[in-house]
Amino acid sequence: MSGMLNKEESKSRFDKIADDLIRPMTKNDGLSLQIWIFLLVTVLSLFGYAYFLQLRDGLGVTGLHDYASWGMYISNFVFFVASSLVGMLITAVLGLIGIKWITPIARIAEIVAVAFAMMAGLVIVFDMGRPDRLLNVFIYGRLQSPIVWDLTVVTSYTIISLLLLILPLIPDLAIIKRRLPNAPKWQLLLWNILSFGFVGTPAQYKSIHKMVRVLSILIVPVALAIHTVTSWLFASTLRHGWDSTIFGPYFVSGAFVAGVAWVILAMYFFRHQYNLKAYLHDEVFDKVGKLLVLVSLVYLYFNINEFLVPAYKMKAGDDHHILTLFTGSWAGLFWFSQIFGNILPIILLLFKRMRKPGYMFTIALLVIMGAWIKRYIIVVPTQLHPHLPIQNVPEAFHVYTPTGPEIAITLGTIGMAILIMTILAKIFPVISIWETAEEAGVDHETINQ
Amino acid sequence: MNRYNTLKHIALALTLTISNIGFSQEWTVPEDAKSVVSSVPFSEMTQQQGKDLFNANCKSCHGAIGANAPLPLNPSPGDPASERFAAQVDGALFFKITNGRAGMPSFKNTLSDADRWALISYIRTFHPNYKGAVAENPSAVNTFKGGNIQMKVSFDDEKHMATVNLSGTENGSVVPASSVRVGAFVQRYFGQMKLGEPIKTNASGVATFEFPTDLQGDSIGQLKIIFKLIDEDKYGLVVAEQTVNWGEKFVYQNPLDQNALWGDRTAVPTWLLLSYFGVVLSVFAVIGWVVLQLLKLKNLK
Ligand code: HEC
Repeated sequence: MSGMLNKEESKSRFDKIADDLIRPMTKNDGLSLQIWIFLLVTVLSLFGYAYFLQLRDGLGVTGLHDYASWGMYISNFVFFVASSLVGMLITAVLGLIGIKWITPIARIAEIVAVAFAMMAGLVIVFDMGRPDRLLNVFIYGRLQSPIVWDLTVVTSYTIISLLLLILPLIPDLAIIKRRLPNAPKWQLLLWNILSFGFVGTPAQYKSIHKMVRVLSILIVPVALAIHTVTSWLFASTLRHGWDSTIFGPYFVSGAFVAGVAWVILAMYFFRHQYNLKAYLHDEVFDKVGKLLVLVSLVYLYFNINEFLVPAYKMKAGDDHHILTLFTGSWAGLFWFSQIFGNILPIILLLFKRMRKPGYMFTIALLVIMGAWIKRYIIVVPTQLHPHLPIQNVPEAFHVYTPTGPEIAITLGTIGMAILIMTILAKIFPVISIWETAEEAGVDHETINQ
Repeated sequence: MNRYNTLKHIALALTLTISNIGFSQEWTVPEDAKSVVSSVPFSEMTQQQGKDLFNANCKSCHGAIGANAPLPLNPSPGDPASERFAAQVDGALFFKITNGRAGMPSFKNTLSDADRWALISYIRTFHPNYKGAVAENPSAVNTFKGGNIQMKVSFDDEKHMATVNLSGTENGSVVPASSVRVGAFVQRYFGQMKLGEPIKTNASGVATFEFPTDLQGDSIGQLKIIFKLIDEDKYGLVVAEQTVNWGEKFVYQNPLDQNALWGDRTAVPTWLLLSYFGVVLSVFAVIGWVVLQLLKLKNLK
């Protein structure tokens, strides 16, 4: 294809692509951005106050207690780890098998991954109450404990995701550096550092391709490990509802559902806010919609296994747990997450008419709500159904009710994740310029002029 | 398929016929078993006990007593109120309940002697012509009638044996206490473990116990062995204790000392250590390689 374009055409095509994709970085977003930032800052200041209370008075300000010692924070942690797994799904799995339509969404997926992976680590620190307790993991941690493995994999995954975000950015930053010579000093400096002296020689392209390829392979086992180990935090106990052999794949499949939904939200947002309709077009949405159906079907399959098999056997202890989920006090949340977070999205997205940006935005929102609730009912109810009866404790220990500060801190972490995405999407182009240009038939020479 | 089914039916019919031939015969009880009688007289209490036991264990086959509604098995279980049962002596019923035959299960291990006698005591209430066997045949229960039993124990540490010597006061003179049941126990953390079945003293008031050689003792192999009269309600609490040192030495192994998944951080299993550092080092080696390539990027012309 590139052979057919003459220099002139090539140049004008590239200019259009580069202008379209760089514009959001320079454009003054005006009121809408200000409102957006204001919202995030409000959430973050609430978070700040709540966290101050928690630091001052300890974990007593939360609803956590002797029985439910893992609550909203840990549910949120699992949710974040899950959401971050989409980076691996899109860049590595789909990228390695050569799927072309991921070009406009690969970076978005990587941004989602980096933001949530970073926050996942932080949420753990909030859950510890006193942040200095983190040191205890290093001082007293046992290699036999899934918690140590968890910390290891979360760190590795964050580093690899960051590298997978930065590497394909290198040629882009070289382009931007040339096209925006009047940008603020700090930005130029940042681009300069992060473009690592890239000028577009064939050897440099080759090296970048090779690094991306190696990391794409490496991230597959690491990503599987991060969520499998997270599931083992639960599954390596004997407790009702956690004592399951399929928790690893069950968590991984659920992670892809949440992650794809986040990518859809981000796609929708950038498409409108950044005016990228020509790049994040209906066809990409259609494809991502189908991807969501696929991963949701796999997740549904695991859900059927995870609930139907124990429900058929109704082992003593499990029976109580399962009944409270199916028909008891947790039934509302349980069926919401199953129906709106999984079954309904599958059915709706089977219709081509529904795989349009507007509908998909709504569906993705439901999926994310369902996904968050699902983590909550995996983490909390089990702890309220211990093997020995709950007795001789304050009445409040029979239930778990998150408190205001706890909710504020949780919302704050979600706000922080979104803030990280907002910043990354402001200082970097959200769609790869050079790869889009390459696909449009523009040669490397034109790109690096 | 069809032929297979026919064959199966023939086989089934044959088995049934043969088993019928085998068991429709008389159920003979050895003579000495017949002469056994209950050591405890039948009373309202034993009857009540027997009733409960019957309803729980026997009714499913024998039907409600007196209703003549046993399960239609071959041979028929029969209604215990019927003449078929009434005509048999206590010892015969006891033998049959204890050992069972064909469709009649053996209750040797599921019900105690006392329970089985209680059942008979209950069944007998439906036999209007029955005369109590305990009263009729007092010589059969020739247990020691006196009291104030003294117990002496001597051990043979070599052979792991013990001899229990009982004497008691009867009619004002001290005599050997014969036909008294003695049980042996070994002291454990949460109670006393029974060592075999109780043994009756012989005519000279002696019961001999032989112990297994592999009894678990404490860290220096000591065991506390306890002898007790079983019929405590009759003779009062008579106990003798003895500590012996031929138990197996107990060597405590702290599970936390091994390198295992449950160990502390200094007791990591080698395979885990290798896998952890193997995986972490390889992942970070690749990351390091990428960073190196990144730094070299600007030199690639
Ligand atoms: C599984 C069914 C079943 C149960 C339960 C059962 N029996 Fe029987 N019983 C039989 C059958 C069948 C026979 C006939 C056996 C034979 O004649 O070979 C029988 C025979 C007997 C006989 C001997 C009858 C005779 O004519 O000699 C006595 C006594 C007896 N059962 C007592 C009991 C008692 C007491 C219980 C409860 C502890 C009991 N059975 C529970 C099935 C049962």
